[in-house]
Amino acid sequence: MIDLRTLLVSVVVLVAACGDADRQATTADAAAEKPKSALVVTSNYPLYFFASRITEGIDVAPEIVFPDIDGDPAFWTPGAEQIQLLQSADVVILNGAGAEPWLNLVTLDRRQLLDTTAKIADRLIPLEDSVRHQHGPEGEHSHQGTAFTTWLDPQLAIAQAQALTNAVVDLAPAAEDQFRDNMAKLERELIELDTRLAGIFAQLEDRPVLFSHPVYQYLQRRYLINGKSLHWEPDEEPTTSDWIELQQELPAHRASIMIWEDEPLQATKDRLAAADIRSAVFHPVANRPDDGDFLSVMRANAKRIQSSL
Amino acid sequence: MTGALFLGWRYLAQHRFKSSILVASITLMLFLPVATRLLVEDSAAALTARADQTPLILGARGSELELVLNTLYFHAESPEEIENRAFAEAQSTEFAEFIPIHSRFKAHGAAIVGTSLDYFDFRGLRVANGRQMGLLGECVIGANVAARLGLGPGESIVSSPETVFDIAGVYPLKMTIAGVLAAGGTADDDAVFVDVRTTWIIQGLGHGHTDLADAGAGAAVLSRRDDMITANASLTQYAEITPENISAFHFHGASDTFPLTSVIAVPPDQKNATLLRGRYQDSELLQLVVPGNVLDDLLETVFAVQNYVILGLAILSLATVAVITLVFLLSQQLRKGEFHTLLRIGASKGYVAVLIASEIGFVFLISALLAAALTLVTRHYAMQILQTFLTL
Repeated sequence: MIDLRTLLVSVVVLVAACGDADRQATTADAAAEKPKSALVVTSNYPLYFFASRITEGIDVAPEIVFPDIDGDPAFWTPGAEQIQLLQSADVVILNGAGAEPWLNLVTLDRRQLLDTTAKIADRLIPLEDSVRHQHGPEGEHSHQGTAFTTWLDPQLAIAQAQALTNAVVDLAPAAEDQFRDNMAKLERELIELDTRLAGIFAQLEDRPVLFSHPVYQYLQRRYLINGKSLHWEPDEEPTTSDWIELQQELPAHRASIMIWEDEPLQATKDRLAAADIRSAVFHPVANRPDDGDFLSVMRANAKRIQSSL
Repeated sequence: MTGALFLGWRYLAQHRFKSSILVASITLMLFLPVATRLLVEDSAAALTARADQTPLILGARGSELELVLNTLYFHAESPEEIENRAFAEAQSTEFAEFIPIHSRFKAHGAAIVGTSLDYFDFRGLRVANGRQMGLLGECVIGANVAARLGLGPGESIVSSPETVFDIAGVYPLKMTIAGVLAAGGTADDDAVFVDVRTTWIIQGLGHGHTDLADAGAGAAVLSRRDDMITANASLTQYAEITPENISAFHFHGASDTFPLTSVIAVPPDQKNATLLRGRYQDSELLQLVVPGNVLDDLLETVFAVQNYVILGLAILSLATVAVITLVFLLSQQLRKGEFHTLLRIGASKGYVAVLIASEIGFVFLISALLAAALTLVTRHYAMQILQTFLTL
């Protein structure tokens, strides 16, 4: 027999279900508005550079866009227009490895995301220096992740570029051979860069090096650099506690070179020089450089390191 | 003969009260069964259409009907929940596209539906005003919600605590309206859509607060040692997600354990649907249901109820017809003198018969027209009328 509960449920359903008649037409309208041209958005400059090189000179290639980001893309929070750009993209090329913390803050279609380090997850470097905290009854926790400047290891950069190549091939399969030819050229240039950097850092032998910021983990691992990272900003005067920390570090780690993300203040350079520490800039080039491109900046990095040895 | 019709009409006009009662009785007698039938048929068609557009629903084992209703119409007050890992595991099967649904909270009486962008493509929902939600804490609202609350893009809507006395439970979250959806005539018009992670923030699984490692957090820090900071109760959690504080928002615990109320599965073909259903056939915690089948069972009940109602109305109609017949017969008896006078002044018996028939005919004609008009109005405003009735 029909009980009261079923009867009530039936009434509620009937009320909510009324007026569904126009659904088919609305679905058809929405489908008709889908964009047709392929659009690829990258989350940092190295990926934009790789994508641009892979698609260079190919008519049917997708449009490659790198949003205007002020500062480090890892600290980017997309604005309304940039979110619309990301949502309209056919593919959003991600660095992965935690380089896009903004992914946790924005709403994107997961099917359009390509993590270029997903297949090399076993080669990523976990971060260890996160601070745990506790508030409320849920217990202590920390916000830790992995090092994300993967492109500083040219071998990882090649793997990322290959993942990217597969994505553009999926978007324009007719030009697969051209994409793969361009990838092969890019790979040769990255291998050449790798060889050059290996030669330069080999000259260090096991001599200690300081990094101004913990962003060189992959460079350090790739070229077996005996390095330690500080948390110094090139455009800020180091604090007294920063200098004390350095003094405490030096006896155990007698570095003669400090590698910076950007040109440090002259006063900082002078004070380091007084401690027999030369400053050299190795630009991580996460964002679009003012001059040149990814490879030219990396070659300039190599040149500066070479001259500082 | 037009004279007889005129006299019949004038008689009804002269006896307005009696005529009105007769018209009202016959109108209701005609209107109720027809309206019931049409309402049920329209609703059943709409219900079936939405269910048929939703191939499969994955949810907690329990009432299939409640799972389907909450997924399609967001009506459940305390829906059963599944862990987000069920969504991830379903995705790993690659048998279908999966759309998460977390529909548990409300804002100004409208259901807050946490989902992904896939839902909008799946339902063919289009943003008519503003843009699609993009950041945590942003929402797009259904057309009816926008009209009812007078809200639009750039304004905000606050989630409601689950209970008035739940001071230690779910905090209200002020959500920015990114856009308003075009009306589709479905339950989506009455919902507030957010990213599923926003519902987790409403639930308290994620939050934003001052960076405890920052020197400015001093008053909120209970203790600080090496790599561990403990905050006290004065730590202020943000009640609104803004571009300035969004980067401070984070989740606690493994996202695999976070709740969903259901997952919509959209397999590409029957083979994948069958393979997927096989996966959950023996699951003790989860069930994968075909909404169309579940609602067919419900509709059987609805139609059975409808038949009972119509049977009752038919019996009432018979009684009404009997009473009306009695009224007319008694009326003829009372008007014997009037008819005799008409015959004496030269009217034929046929003339008198037409006069009586015209009175009855006018009553039925007016009743039929009123019943038709009421049926049209009811069909047009059925949803609003019934919703108002149910929310009283």
